[in-house]
Amino acid sequence: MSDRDEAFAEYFAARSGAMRGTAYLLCGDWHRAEDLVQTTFVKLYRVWNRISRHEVLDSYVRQILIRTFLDERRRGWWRRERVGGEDAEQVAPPDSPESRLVLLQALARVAPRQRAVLVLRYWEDLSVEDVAALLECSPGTVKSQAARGLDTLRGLLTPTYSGIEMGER
Amino acid sequence: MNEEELREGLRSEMAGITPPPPLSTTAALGAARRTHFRRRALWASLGSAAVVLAVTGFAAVATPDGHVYQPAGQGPLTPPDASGDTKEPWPNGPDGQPQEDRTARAGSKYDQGVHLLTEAVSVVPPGYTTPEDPPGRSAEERMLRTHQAQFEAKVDGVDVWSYSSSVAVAQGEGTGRVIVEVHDAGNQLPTEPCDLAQEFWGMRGACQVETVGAVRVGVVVRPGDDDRLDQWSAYRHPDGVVVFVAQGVRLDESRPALTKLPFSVPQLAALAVDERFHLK
Repeated sequence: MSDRDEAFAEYFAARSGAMRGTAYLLCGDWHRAEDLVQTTFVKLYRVWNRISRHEVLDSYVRQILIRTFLDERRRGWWRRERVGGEDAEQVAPPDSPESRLVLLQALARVAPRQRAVLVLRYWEDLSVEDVAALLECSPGTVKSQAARGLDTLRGLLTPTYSGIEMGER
Repeated sequence: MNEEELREGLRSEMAGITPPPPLSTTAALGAARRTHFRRRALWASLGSAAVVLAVTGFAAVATPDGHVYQPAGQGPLTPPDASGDTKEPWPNGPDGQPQEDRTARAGSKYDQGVHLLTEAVSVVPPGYTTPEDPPGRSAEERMLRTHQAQFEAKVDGVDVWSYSSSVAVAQGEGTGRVIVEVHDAGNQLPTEPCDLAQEFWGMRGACQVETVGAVRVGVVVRPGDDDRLDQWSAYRHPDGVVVFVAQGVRLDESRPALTKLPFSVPQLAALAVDERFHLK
């Protein structure tokens, strides 16, 4: 195995699990999450030798992952793959056995770009500025997308989260 | 639900989920290698066994500089071996033997890389020095000057190469770098100036189009979160040769950064068009 392959394999083994978690939050499906991660790492491999600062790899890989997710949404993959799977997009009622997953199911119904902002801000804990840089938009756009995404979640989860005080906008 | 509740909710729900088994590193590496080599060779889209045979089995192809290369080894569309790996069709070197890897170690391609480094050093503006690597430099130290010629892909039977050079530029206590990268005609890089600029090293950023004489040059003036370099310009010559010129205030983490970039944006754009980097 070449040095490149060895380093790549080591990084994949260390970080693919975490990236898959983020991908799962983005697409709500483990199989698709694995596809996203695989596509992301294939893209990473292409430029591996050109990356001189491997200490910033996570940031770079996260950027590839998010862009791959958004690009595929734009190309219509999601709509094709989800045909017949509408039930999966329904938010489970609060008293269902699956109610524990209600937040993730609601998240899957948030618009993709807003969802990406929510995942990056509140799962990856990136700053507004970092999310803006990653998504190539202004910090103001990140804030508004996050607010809209939270608003959508509130609407979807009102029965479940009734009584919870609304957060700051 | 406020921000903190969402943050806690995501962690709580993810903690309660049992994920599938870990992804296979071997499978991922194999897929990455196969896709990488197929893409770079641009053969995946051909899909024709006849073409594959012609290219991998029988063709002896001439490069623009007149060298004749025999196809090296099996082509990338041949079935993977037991390990799942595919073979890279490295060109032959000047000794007639296949290169060890993508990088030329000698010969005309190697010389082009050397030439590009020389030209890159020559454009560094007054007020900056271009330190050379000291004798006995340890392998751990960052090289101050580098050059490389590497095989990119075989396109329509012709080897397409790229050449890169990196020059450390110093002023006062700071050390930054200037990088020039040239891609042979036949490359599959975009044509629009900013699309082209965004392709450099897979980095992206805020791009603007600069006019140099009668031509348009894409210049990324502010990088995204991948800030390995600060600015870079990109130009495709009419014959298809692509030139990237990049600058960064920092060479590596062990040295102070420059206080200002060596080139202004218009200068950086003009360098992408400069005939000294127009390798043929």
